[in-house]
Amino acid sequence: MIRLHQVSKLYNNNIPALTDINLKINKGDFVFITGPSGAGKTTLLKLIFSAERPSKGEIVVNGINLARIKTSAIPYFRRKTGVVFQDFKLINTKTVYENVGFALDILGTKRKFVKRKVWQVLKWVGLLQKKDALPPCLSGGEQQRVAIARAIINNPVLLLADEPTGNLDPVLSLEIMKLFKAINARGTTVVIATHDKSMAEKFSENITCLERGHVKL
Amino acid sequence: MLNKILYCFRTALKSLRKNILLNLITSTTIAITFIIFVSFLLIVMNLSIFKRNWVDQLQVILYFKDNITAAAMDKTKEYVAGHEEVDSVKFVSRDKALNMLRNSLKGQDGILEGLTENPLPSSLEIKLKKAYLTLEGVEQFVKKIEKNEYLEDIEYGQKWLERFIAFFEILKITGFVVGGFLFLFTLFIISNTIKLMVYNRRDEIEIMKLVGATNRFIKLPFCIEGVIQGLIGASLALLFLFLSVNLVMGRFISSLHFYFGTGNFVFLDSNLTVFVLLLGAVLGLAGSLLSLNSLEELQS
Repeated sequence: MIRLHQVSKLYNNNIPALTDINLKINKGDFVFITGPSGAGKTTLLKLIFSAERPSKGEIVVNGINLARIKTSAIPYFRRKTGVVFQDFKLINTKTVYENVGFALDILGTKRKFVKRKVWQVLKWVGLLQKKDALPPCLSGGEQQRVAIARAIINNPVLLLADEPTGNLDPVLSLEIMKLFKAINARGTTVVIATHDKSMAEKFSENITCLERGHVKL
Repeated sequence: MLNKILYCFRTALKSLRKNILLNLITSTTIAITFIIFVSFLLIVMNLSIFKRNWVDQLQVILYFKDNITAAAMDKTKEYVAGHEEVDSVKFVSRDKALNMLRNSLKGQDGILEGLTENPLPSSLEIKLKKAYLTLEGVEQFVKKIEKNEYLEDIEYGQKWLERFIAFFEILKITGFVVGGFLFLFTLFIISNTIKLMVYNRRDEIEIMKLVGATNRFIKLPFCIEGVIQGLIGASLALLFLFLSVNLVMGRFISSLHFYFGTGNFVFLDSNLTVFVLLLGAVLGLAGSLLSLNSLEELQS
């Protein structure tokens, strides 16, 4: 599913964010990337999501070599990948329904189908009753569930989450992790970056530790 | 595909509604530009019609010297009519000329009351064939006949025509130059408005990219906004000018009609109206693309 071979990433200031990373994630895996702030977790997810290109090495995700992917092909690659962020990245002027349906709207999906699918996903994440609410009126946990609903509405084969519980209390964090686990149970490969190693250990044995841009063995 | 386009239209209309004040300012600026441009267009178009009508009615008038015999006048008429340029020649006697003057001064003919003798000369009114009805054609014909010994003066409004043509050309060039600058200014305004819209929606754009929207799909609503702004601006300008020409300027124009006697002031026909509207749309689209292509948010 995901294979990184000798991947390095240098930003413009020539400071290496990642150095010689080798990583293999199989289809259906539930993987944690852990490490302290600045270890390179977000950069690693950005590379897997094709928001950044590697300075060196090969990244193959779902059979696509992201080191050589054409810029025009990136949107099509992203449609098969869901992403969840710590800050939720919701549009505050759109309702919960609109935020979730947005991912289907941009594909030109018929409104009737969008409606059915959004209802289905919102029901699954337990937010159907809040479908008309605006994100600022929701709690942090609810906002994250909206972001997750948006990320999975296209039935992605891969779900990436960057510190998804970073803004949530332990109870809500647990709730969100259970949701990720349920998504994984449906066959989606899930990769979660978190600094909370204990949380990672609670949910998976498949943990990759990063430290100063290197995989910690 | 249709659903995508409909989505882009809905998004564009929502954004136009949401930023109504900014869009109103932009459309008004576009309208002002178009009012100036279309005013030039209307003036040039009407002067062009006026020039064509005037040249069509152009005639050369030959005034005879005093004390020329009727035989000499006949001889001159035959001589003039013999030229290939001439379509028709009409002799106007001194008495007829005075009557014509009286008729044209109806109501004010008191001016002529003190006259003890007819001061007007006999004349020949010459109408040229259509092929020679140009300033050069008339001048060449006049050169051929001006040395005739019986003639006192030849008149065909040459100075007036020369001035008019020079004025017309300057006006046309000024129209193009001013129009060009105004359109550049409009492009700048539209592109800045669109930049502001992109800035207002930068979070939305970021998320659109995250969920796999193509740049083309992200840009389309902004292009639609630009086109709508251009169309609204051009339509407002046409409406304003149409009302101005028909209501406010009606009286002024009818007085022009009295002086020049060459028909009514003409507004843009349907083809030109469509052209102006399309120009507004194209300008809106160009302004949008100009800003969208320079924005970093939409580069990758």
